[in-house]
Order: sequence, then structure tokens, then C-alpha cells
Amino acid sequence: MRNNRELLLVHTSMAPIRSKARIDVMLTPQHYTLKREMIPLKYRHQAQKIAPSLFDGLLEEAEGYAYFVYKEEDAWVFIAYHPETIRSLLQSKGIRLEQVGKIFFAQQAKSKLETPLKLDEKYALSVVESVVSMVPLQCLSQEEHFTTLPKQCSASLGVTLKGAGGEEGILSLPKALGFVAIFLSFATMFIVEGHAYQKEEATQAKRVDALVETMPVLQSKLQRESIFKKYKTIDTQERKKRDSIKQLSKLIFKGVVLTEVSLSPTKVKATFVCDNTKTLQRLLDALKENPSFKLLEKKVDSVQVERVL
Amino acid sequence: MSKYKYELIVLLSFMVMGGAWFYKHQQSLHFVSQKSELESSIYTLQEVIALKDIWGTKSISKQLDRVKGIVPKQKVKWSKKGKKLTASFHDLTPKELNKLLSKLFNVAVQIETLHIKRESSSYSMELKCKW
Repeated sequence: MRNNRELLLVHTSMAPIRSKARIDVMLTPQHYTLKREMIPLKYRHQAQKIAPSLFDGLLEEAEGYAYFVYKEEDAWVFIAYHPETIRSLLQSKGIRLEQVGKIFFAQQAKSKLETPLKLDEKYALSVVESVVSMVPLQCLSQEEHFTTLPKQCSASLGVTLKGAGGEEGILSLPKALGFVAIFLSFATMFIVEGHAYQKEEATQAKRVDALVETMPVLQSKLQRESIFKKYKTIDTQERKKRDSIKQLSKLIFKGVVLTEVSLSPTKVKATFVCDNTKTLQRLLDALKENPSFKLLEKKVDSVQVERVL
Repeated sequence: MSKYKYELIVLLSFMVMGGAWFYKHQQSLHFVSQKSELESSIYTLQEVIALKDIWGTKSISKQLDRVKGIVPKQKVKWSKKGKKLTASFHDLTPKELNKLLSKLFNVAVQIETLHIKRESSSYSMELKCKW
């Protein structure tokens, strides 16, 4: 996100401000202690670890200090600052912590301060032996031109005080990245799953198309269902007719003669003649086990059965 | 807003996840609704093709001629007009009747009427069918 906060140089002799706009603050060397060291370290976090030991014996109170480290050309710049003192300073200058984004140190604007910057009637900021320092105006030549502070700080690194507007939100970067990774993993899973559904549906539709291609007349759903109904009815009825004859043949055994069979589209009728009552009873028992046929007429030696199709 | 930039990124990724879930849910709903319809279409198509193969075959007429040849010519009256057949058989032995019926039932014709009657020791049969 682009930083469009205005940069304000805060020093002891400045007059309190009334603006409530959000600002970045640059502190003059009065408010921090600096050491510039040529230490063969590769990473900033390594330099950050050794920072407290570099200031041993240099700081008035050992406790409550925070350290800011960055690389400047070939050297590491170590800055010790006291957040509570800075907080008090800002409040004394009418600056509310909520309106402060980042806090920078004058050393970070070294390249811009090659030409001195006038702070008040007595002091100016200038670079002395690669270190931005407060220099009495008397030490500068009469014809010296003064520079002005840029409207925004070009440095990317800065510090944030607890409670300040530039402070981090609820989530730290690693936590946020963790959540993002989890959510995006789920998102990927959902997309893959959704795509699989889409693919499966397309496969089924292709199967339908392939079947329709074998019989183009079945293209229309209505026509398809009408043809299906027609053939299904024929199939069911014809199978029933054939099954009826098969069932009748099962009722013929020794002593039973099939004398008549009549098959119409709606029913099948058959007449059996038996040679004695025992055989007749056996036939009746067999009929009971075959519920598809019902007894229509029973005589002394014959029975007539019927099945509705 | 920059104070909550990480929260915003997390929220954005959560919304992406929500969107992906919605996409999956929609696809799943659509699939379920289409699945039964597609499966029913496939079933109907396969059934129609199979049934048409059985009941719409073009060789029925030839198959019926083969049935006619099972019994001696003098026992048969055969009248085939277009896709309809009227036939009557007489003096059939039980063996001939059985053979005739089993062959006839293997031909995919629609039997309109079938009348079998025992006359002393032989059988007569009248048949009307179409295809």
C-alpha cells in the first residue's frame, strides 16, 4: 500500500503542532543514540540480535530501550531509542500517537542532508563523517544554503510505537500468511471438486450424445419416451403371454390333459381334464401354488383357469 | 487501513475460499439435479435400443417362414399379408405342438390371438399375430 502520510521532523525546540492529519515522524539525533559499525553480518535479524550489546555502557538507563538496525552502504547502522521518551516528546508537541504512522530517524535521510537542514536559530542537521548530527549554525559558513525536508520519507524501514496508528493490526505476518495458506488451500480443494462435478456431468452428457448418435430419431426427449413406452408395453405384454403358456405347461402332469387354450390380448384361458379325482385335487393344489392363474370353473373331471394379462 | 492490511489480506483469501465453496456447491447441486435426468436418459436410450433390437428386427418374416416349415405342409394354412399373419394348424401331435409353440415364442411377434384345441388325440391351433 502506498504511503501518503506527510513527514514531520520532530526536535526539542519545535513548536507544538495543531494538525490532526496522519503523519510519519522523523526524529533528530537528540532522541536516539547511533552506532555505525562495519560488521560482517549478512542478515538484519542477526544485526538486530547483537544491537543491545553494542550499546553496553553507552545508554543512561539500560532498561526500556528498543533498537533499530539497518544497512547503510557497507556498514550496519544501530540505533537505540527509548519509546517512552519518544512518546512523551510526541505528546508534548501536540502529536497524538494515533495519528503517527512510522517513526524514522534522521540518519535514514543522510543522502538528503548532505546540504544542511536548518532546525532553529541555533542548530542545523548535517552529515558529519557519515553520521547525521546536530551542528551549531555558527559552525556553518555564512553563505551556506539550507535544504528542506522531503514531504515523504523514501526509507522503507521504520519503527512503530505501541498504540500508534502505524502499529500492526491483530494479526502478525506469519499468522496472516498461515490463515491465507489455509484458506487458499481450501479454495483450491473446492475449485478442484467443483471442476470434477462439472467434468462428470460433461462425461454423462457425452454418453447420452453417443447413444443418440446411434439412433438420431431418439434426439428428442418426447419422441424417445414415446418410442420407449410403445416398445416397453409390447415387451411386457408379450412376455406375459409367453410366460402364461409356460406356466400352463407346468400344470400338465400324468393324468392331466390340456384340452383347450385361448389367448387374447387381455387374458389367457385354459381347460384341463383329469382322469380321476385324485389327479384333479393334485391339479388344484398346483394351481394354489401358482397365484397368477385363478380358478374359473371346476367340474367333476375338469377345471378351467384364467389369467388376466 | 494499512494498520489492518494483514487482516484485509486474510479476509480477502477467506472470501476467495467462500467463492470457491459457492462454486463447488453450485456445481454439486447442478450435478445432482442433472445426474438423475442424465441417468434416466441413458437408461431410456439403452432400453429403447435394446427393445427396438428385439421387437423391431427386420428378419421376423423370415423367422416365421422357418416356423411354418416345422410341420408338414398339409397341416398348415398360412396367410401372411404385410406385417400380419393368420395361420391355422390341424392334426398336430403333442410333440409337433410343443415344438411349434417353443419356436413361435422365440420369434418377436405380437400374438393377437392363439387358440389351441384338443381333438381326440391331436391338436389344432389357430394363430393371429403381427410385428
